[in-house]
Amino acid sequence: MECPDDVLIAKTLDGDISCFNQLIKRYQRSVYNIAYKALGNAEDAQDVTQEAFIKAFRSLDTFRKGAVFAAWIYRITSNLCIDYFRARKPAVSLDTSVNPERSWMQDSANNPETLMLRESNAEYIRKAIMDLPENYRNVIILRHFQGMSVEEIAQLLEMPQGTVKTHLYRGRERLRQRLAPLIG
Amino acid sequence: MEEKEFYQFKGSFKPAEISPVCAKVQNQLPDMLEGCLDKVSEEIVRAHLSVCYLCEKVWIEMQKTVALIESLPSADMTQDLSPRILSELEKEIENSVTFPWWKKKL
Repeated sequence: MECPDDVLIAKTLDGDISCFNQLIKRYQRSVYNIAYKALGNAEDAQDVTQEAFIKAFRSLDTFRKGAVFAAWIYRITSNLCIDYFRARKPAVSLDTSVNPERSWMQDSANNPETLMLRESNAEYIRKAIMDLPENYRNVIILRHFQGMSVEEIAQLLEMPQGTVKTHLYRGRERLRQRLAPLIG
Repeated sequence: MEEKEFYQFKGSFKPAEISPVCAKVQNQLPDMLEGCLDKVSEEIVRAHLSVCYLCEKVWIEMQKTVALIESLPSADMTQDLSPRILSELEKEIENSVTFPWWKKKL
C-alpha cells in the first residue's frame, strides 16, 4: 500500500531523505506537465520541476500539518513558471499582434510557417494565463492542465466547490477577454 | 411581459443592458461547460441559445477559450528526474545552510 504524503513528510523531517524521494517520484510527472504546458519546452520544464522540489524541501519544516502536499507543490510550480516565463526573452507582449486565423489550432500541417504561427499563438495563450491573479491561475491550471474535476480541485485546495467554480469562471472570463484576438 | 420578449433575438441589435433571462442563462453556462447542469436546465438553456444571439455568442466564446487553454502542447516526461533532484538536494545539504531544519537533525 502506498504510504500517505503526510507520513512521508513526517519521516523526511525526521531525517529520512528517501521518503522525500518517494514524494518526488509520486509528483514529478504532474509537476513536469504543468511546467511544460506553461513554458512550452522540455529543458525549462525539467529545471522548474527540479527547483520546485528543492524549494519545497527547503521549507518543509514550515509545511502546515494536515495541508495537502500536492496543492503546495503545484502552487510552488505555478509561481516558478511565472518567474521563468518573465525572465526569458523575447517576452511576448499582449500588444504583439497574433494571427487569428481560424484554422491554426486544427491545422495539422507541419510546414515552418504553420509551426511558427502555432508557437507564437501558444506563447500568447501562456502569457495570458501567467498574467492571471494567483487564485484564478491555480484553478485554471488544475482544471485545464491537469484535467482535474471541480470536486477534486476543491478537495485539493481545501475550499468549497462554489469558490472553485467562481475562480474558474472569473479566470476564464479574463482569458476570454485577453484571448479575444484568437477567439475571433 | 412575456419571457421571450427579453431574449436578444438573432439578428436584433445588442441592447445596452442584459435581460434578466439572458443573465440567468449566462449564469448557468459555466455549469453547462463543466457538464454539471441538470438535464432539464440544460434543455432550457439550449433552447434559449438557439434563439438568443447574445447568449449563443457568449457560449461559443467560453468554449473557444477552454479549447485555446487546452490546445497548449503537452509532452511526456522522458526521464525520471528524481536522481537528478536528489543529487542536487544532497549537494546543497552538505555545502550550505539552506536547510536549517535539516541541520538540526544531523
